[in-house]
Amino acid sequence: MWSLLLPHLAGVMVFYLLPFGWGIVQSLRTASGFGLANYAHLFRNEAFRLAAVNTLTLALVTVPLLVGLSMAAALYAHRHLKSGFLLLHPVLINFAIPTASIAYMWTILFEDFGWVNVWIHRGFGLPHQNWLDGALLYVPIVSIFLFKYLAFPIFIFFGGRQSLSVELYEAASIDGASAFKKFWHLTVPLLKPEILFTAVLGFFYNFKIYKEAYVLFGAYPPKEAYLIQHFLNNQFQKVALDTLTAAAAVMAVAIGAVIYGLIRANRSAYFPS
Amino acid sequence: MRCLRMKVARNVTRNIIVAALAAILLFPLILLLLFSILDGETMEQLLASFGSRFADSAPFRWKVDVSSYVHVAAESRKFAAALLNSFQYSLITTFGQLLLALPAAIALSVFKVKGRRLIVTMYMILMMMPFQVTMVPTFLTLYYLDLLDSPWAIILPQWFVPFSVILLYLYMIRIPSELHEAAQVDGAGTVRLIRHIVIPLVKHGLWSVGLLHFIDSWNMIEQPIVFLSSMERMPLSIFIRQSLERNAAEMFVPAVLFVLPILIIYGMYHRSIISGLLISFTGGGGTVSGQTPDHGVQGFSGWGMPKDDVDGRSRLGMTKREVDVHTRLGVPFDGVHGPSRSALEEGACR
Repeated sequence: MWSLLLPHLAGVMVFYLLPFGWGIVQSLRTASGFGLANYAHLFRNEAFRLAAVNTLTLALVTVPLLVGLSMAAALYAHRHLKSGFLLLHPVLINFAIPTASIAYMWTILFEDFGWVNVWIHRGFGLPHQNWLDGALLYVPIVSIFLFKYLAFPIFIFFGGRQSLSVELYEAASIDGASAFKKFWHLTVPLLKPEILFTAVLGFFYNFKIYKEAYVLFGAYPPKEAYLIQHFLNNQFQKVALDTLTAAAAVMAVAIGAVIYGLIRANRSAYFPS
Repeated sequence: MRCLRMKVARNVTRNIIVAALAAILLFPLILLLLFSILDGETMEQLLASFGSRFADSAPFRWKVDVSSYVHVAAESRKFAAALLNSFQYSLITTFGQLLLALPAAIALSVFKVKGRRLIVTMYMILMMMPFQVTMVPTFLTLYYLDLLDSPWAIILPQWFVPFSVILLYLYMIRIPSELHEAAQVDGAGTVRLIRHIVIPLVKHGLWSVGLLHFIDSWNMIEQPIVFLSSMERMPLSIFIRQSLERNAAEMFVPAVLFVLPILIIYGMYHRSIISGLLISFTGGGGTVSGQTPDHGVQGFSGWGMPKDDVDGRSRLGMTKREVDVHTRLGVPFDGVHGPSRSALEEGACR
């Protein structure tokens, strides 16, 4: 029934795949015919390296926090909250709220005479910090990330924990297992698929946080917030086509490899027969 | 009696914690709403002296000013144009995307066309790419089609984003193939099959994917910046950014008005959004490996009627009010919102 698929596929080809292929061809075109010179150039580019390192560092910070906090929240809700999981609504609302509206609020909180600084000064006597530059940058960025993206992982862990059998935990209690033991030896291994899924989801959410970073800092953010998308965006503005296509190709290959690996590992879930 | 007192006390502290957490989580939104109704001077004072509330005793004069709402909503033509653009883009892209994605997803999941593994894999990879990677290819196509700086520059690429196809595909592979096979054995042709079997089953998924996409496209910032240039075509998200850059105090009211449709949609349809997402990714609220869909989804909303749980214990006899009363007293009735207490704990507390 290809006729059903064709319209959509045709559009994907026209707007995404074919021009992307052209882009790859362009990236291989150097001053002296075809070759990988653009790629070599790219990997030596300071800005690219900075962006790559920053993106990875941010991911290394946000993903464990995302997985840990969402799991903690879901387990707490499972164990203690009986009147439905009403807390989920604020979290989910934060997910739906458009960036354009809310990002400035974070600036207000974290700027030089913003509330966070005023609080720590009045409350703890600490001097005003610069939250919007330097390593402390991670505090607002990670906060925004968690506020926005905790919703779905909490669902996943909550649903997962709900579907585990009560008898299993009772048996463990009878055998004298402490709460921590039950967590470590029952919950964690049984929720491994959820943990993996959330980790991957968190990794890709890192790419989406660029939107917030862009609204907060613009095209040229402080050094620590310079992400790979900033690099791509700026190359685009400069119409530096060779760098741009090479970088896009590198990213596509990296991301493609990860996704492909995941799909292969979960073949049966995605292609039931 | 001791047990009941313990439960009530625990519930009270729990509610306080939950309320406090909810306030923290909604803090940026509350801040936004607050700032939008305050007068300019009040805002400055608030910003500067919030911390000093504890030290100073000077009373704080709040001047609420809603006239800016009237001004923006009723008089500002630029705002109205931007709002209209946002609606236009979000609605047209959502409808078109669903219209194109549904047949594609049907072809991939129900009819299992040749090459479906390749196509699904490709779509999934494409779906995960950040915008900047596909930005140039799309830009070039739009350039050569001479569509830049027109509404089509936004609409067309959005129509062919693989997101909907993949979500619908994941949704539809949960439908047992025996259903289609049975229909085909009974002589149903393709059209019949789709109209009477597939579409009713998928309606829910379509609705929630549509809602998700609408919310996502309402937030669209990167595409307008790259594919559009004239201000008349910009959606409200960009308009707000421009307002911010001109004069920070001006952005609050448009920002609130911008959030309003989202809050309304969320209020009305959050269950659809949640359950659609969950079914696509986790088979209904069970584990991600796709095991038994469980009472996860009902448990989230807190307003679901108690249903039979997997052990066959029926609670259909309980009305919602009874459920509420039971909950408030802390009397456990496990299974509805998840196993709240094990048999051991219940026994210990009786």
